[in-house]
Order: sequence, then structure tokens, then C-alpha cells
Amino acid sequence: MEANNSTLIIGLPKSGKTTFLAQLYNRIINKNCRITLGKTPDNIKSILSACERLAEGKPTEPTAASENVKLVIPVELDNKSFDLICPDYGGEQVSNVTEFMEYDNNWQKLTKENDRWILFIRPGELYHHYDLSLKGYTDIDSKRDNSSLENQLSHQYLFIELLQSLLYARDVGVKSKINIPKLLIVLTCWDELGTTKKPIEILIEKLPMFSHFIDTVWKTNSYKIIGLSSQEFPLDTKEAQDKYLDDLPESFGYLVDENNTHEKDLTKLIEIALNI
Amino acid sequence: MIKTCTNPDCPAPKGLCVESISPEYQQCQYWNETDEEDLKKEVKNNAKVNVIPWSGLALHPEGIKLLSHRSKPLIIGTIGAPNAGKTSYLGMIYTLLFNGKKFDNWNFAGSHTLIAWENLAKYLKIKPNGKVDFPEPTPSNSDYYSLYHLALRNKETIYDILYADSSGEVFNLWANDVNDINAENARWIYSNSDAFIFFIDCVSVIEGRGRTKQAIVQLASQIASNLNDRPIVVVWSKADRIDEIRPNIKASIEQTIEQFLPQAYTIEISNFSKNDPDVLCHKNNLAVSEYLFDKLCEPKKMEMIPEIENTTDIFFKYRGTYGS
Repeated sequence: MEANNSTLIIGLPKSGKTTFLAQLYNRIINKNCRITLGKTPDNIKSILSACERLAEGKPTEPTAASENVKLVIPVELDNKSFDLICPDYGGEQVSNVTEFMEYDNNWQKLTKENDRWILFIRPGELYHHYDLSLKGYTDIDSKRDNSSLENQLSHQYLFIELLQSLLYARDVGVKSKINIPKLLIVLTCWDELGTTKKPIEILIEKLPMFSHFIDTVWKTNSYKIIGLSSQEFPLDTKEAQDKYLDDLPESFGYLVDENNTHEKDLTKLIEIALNI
Repeated sequence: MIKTCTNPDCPAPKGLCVESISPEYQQCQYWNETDEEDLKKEVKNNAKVNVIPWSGLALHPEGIKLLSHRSKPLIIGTIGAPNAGKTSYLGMIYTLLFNGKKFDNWNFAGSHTLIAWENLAKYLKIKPNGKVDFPEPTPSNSDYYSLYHLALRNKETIYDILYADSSGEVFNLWANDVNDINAENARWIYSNSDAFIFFIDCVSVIEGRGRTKQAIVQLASQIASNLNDRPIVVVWSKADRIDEIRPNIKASIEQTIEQFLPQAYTIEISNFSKNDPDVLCHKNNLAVSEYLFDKLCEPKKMEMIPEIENTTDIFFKYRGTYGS
């Protein structure tokens, strides 16, 4: 069976979806890339405000839950037209899937109809606990004090449970290795890592069990891991803002492919997703 | 105008009508002529919520059906005295996987009890004061069950593994009287597990000496009674201190194991790592489970050829009517 080209963009809140979509839209609308707009999207209000902020050299703002609308960008590439669907711009619905362990029929439809999933993860924001297996010997606390024990669940838990749940919604089991949906894991805000490592190495370093899970569950050629810096640098100084004002936002941002090659054309991300 | 059923959950006409549980869906009161536009509206309003069938918490025996549709889950029972490190062992398995350690031939393919695993592992996290809390004693009420799930892929096959955690107190009751009214969950674990991990607590042996040894003998003999060919690993837990055990007591426990559980594989583990990778902590904790996984999946010898010489079994003695 061949995968269709409909692409679902998934990410928890603050995983970098807004900045990417704004930069992508900027490039498509300015026609300096291979991807062209099929027709103007119905509702791009939230993206437009992000585009405006970037044009002023300001970082985008986290999407408010009230602006949590479905975003559909109809695009064309090599005479094929298809939709990029970001059903959950703010990422709230995605967090709710694992929070309440439920999803509505709309999500079921989305997981079934889109054969390509792009998952946004921001590795710079992930924390890792020290535990006994890493530290060696330590004393056992005689005063049992659970208050300082964080009850928060780990990021690895979140991402594994999210994919398990979305696969369940699509009725895909793990009995045999998954070919469809194709999975592109995008490690966002790559610039804040200050690294020369490959994207797969960063994923293994930050989320080793999650990476092991993906590798066990998906067929080797059915998933890919890349890096993305939509902004290229933080927009927190006057100097950085001036750069954006002078050279325009579409001059900034890059992708890091699986071989560590940097690519300025952010729309290549969509091509990579289509070629898995 | 098209004909449809107004009940969105009814599979008719593809399946049986849910009202009459028959194929005669056209007789059903909900089978109506519906305007296509109405139908679209209905679909829109019907943002029905689908509940994911697992919660992430530990499973109870009745929850096993969640997994049994795809494979027969393999249950590994943990047995040992209170504070022998059974729960910590499970926490350590998850912690090791969490940090990227792997089994040699068994790859992690997810879990339906991730929250329960995370709860176990939190006790091994270093707190801001640099110390750790070990898990609180596992509840000893007789209806307490907690099964921890791992889906693992070996070559092309997915196996569902369930670790059954138990309270040491309950196993002590069971060791002295297998019919003890308060040992129901120990009985369940003993009769339903496909394999066992038997924990011997080095620190308890150091401190309790002969007294601890006596309890180990009692428990080992009870485990052996109906073990049959189910694989078992004998684990010396907290083995970073194993050298402090009096040699005569250690020899005597080893002899007990040899006597009651001659087939057991014996290994030392610890939650404290001296090196990275560390043998006791990193390698051996995983090896305990991997040994059992491998054993459980070994092709079983089929005993198809009955020994019929000198049998008294009339089935084998029957030579057909022509012989009479």
C-alpha cells in the first residue's frame, strides 16, 4: 500500500510549531521555494500575527488556547496537491490525549486519513533526572519525605504514550513493524542546542527510551529524525532584531538533515516528509 | 434522500442492527430516511469521545484481557521476604530502559502501564538533598494486585510481559500456610506466573543470619512444591554487600537452593552502580529478566512418543477387534 501525501503536524504546546509554520508560510507566499500555495488558506489569522512579529524582528508568542483553530495549508509540489494539516495549533488537544486518555472522532479521522505524521519536539526544553543507575552510591533518606519527589511524569512517557494513543486511534497495532503512517520527528530550536551532533544522536541523548521505542515499532525506512531552527538565533537583542528587519525573516532558519547537512530552504522539511 | 440509521453506534447495514441484534435492520425504528444535509450536521455535532482502553496504571488480573487479544501475556512473579528489593528491582528495570540501556535481544515496543512504571522509578531518583527514597512497602492486603506491562520485540515477534509485584508479608504468610486466607494474591501469583524471580536479601542475611536463613528455606521449599518446569532466577539482591555474609550461612543458603531449586539460575544484583556500565547494577538487573524471557520462548520439547512397553494403560494395550 502506498502512503498518501496528507500530512499531520503534531506537537505539544511550545514545541515550535508556530514559528515554523509562520516561516514556512512566509517562504511559500514569497514564492522563493519549490512548494507553492494551492489556494489561500481559509483561516491563517494566528499565523499572520506570528509572521508580523517576525517581520518586526520579534519572537513569536505562544499560541493562546483561544486561538486553537485547525490550520490547513493547501500546497502543491511537483504538480501534486495536498494539504498540510495542523489540527491543533496550540497543542492543547495533543496534551489532552495523554492527560485524559481519550480523543474525539475528529482526531480519529485525522490519524486515519493522514499517512504522514510530523512530530515536533523541542529538545532544549527537556529535562532529565539523575537517578541511582547514573550516580552510583548514595545514602538512603531515613526521613521519608516525599514532598521533594517530583510526581511529574517524564517527557519520554509523554511522547511514547502520545504515539501509542494516536496509533490506537488509527487502529494500527505494533505486531508487525509500522510502514504507514510515515513518521518525521523534527527536533526544533536546533540553534539553542549549540551542537555539532546529528539529529539522531541528540534524540538518543535526550530521549533514549523513546528513540528505542520508535526504532522497535517503526520500519527503519518509515521514519526519519531531523533538526530544525526556524529562527536561526534568539530574537532577544536589538542587533538580532535589526538583522530580521534588514534581511527579512525568510532569510533565516535552517534544517539539519539526518547526515548533519544544513539546508536553508525550510520548505524542504515538507519534501523530506513526503519522501519517507 | 438516503436511508440510514440514526444511531451512530449501529453498524447496520454492514453489521447486525444493535436494537434487534439481527440482520433485519429495516424493521428497526431508528432506520429512517435521512436528509443528507441532516446527516452531515449530525456528524459534526457528534464529536464523540473515544476512550483509550489503558490508563497507564498497573493492571489487575481482570485487565489482562487488554493484552490477550494479541498474544498470551507471559507473567513473571516476584517472590521474596519484605524489603528484599522486589519493587526496587522493577523500578530499576524501567530506570535502565529509561536511560537507554537495552536487553540484548528484546527491544522495547511500548507499555500499557507507563504511569505505574514511572511511579516505581521515581523512588530511584536522586532528590535535591542528594539522597534517595526506596519504595514504600508494597501493600499487603490480600486483594492487592499490580501487574506491570512491557511489550518487547524479539526478532519479528511481539511478546507481552507482565511483572507481578507482591508484598513480602503476603508471601511469608503463604510460605507458612499456602491456604492462608490473607494470602490470596500470593496464591494467584504462584499459580498463574510463567516464571519467577526469587529474591534473597543480602543485607537481611547479614543482619538476621540463621533467622533469615530459616525463612528462606521455608519459602524455597514452598516455591519448589508445584514449580514443575517453570523457569526461576534466584537473585541475591543488595549484592554490593554480599561479601559481608558469614561464609557458612552463605554456603548453607546455596545448599538450600541447590536442594529445592536445582534448575534455578543464580545471579547477584544491586541498585548501586560503581562503574558505567556496571555489572551488578546495569548488566545483571537486565540479565535476570532476559534469562527468563529467553527460557520462556525456548521451543518446548514435545513428548509425543509414549512409552508403551509394559504399559498397563488399556488405551495402548488395545490392538483392535481383530486381535481378540
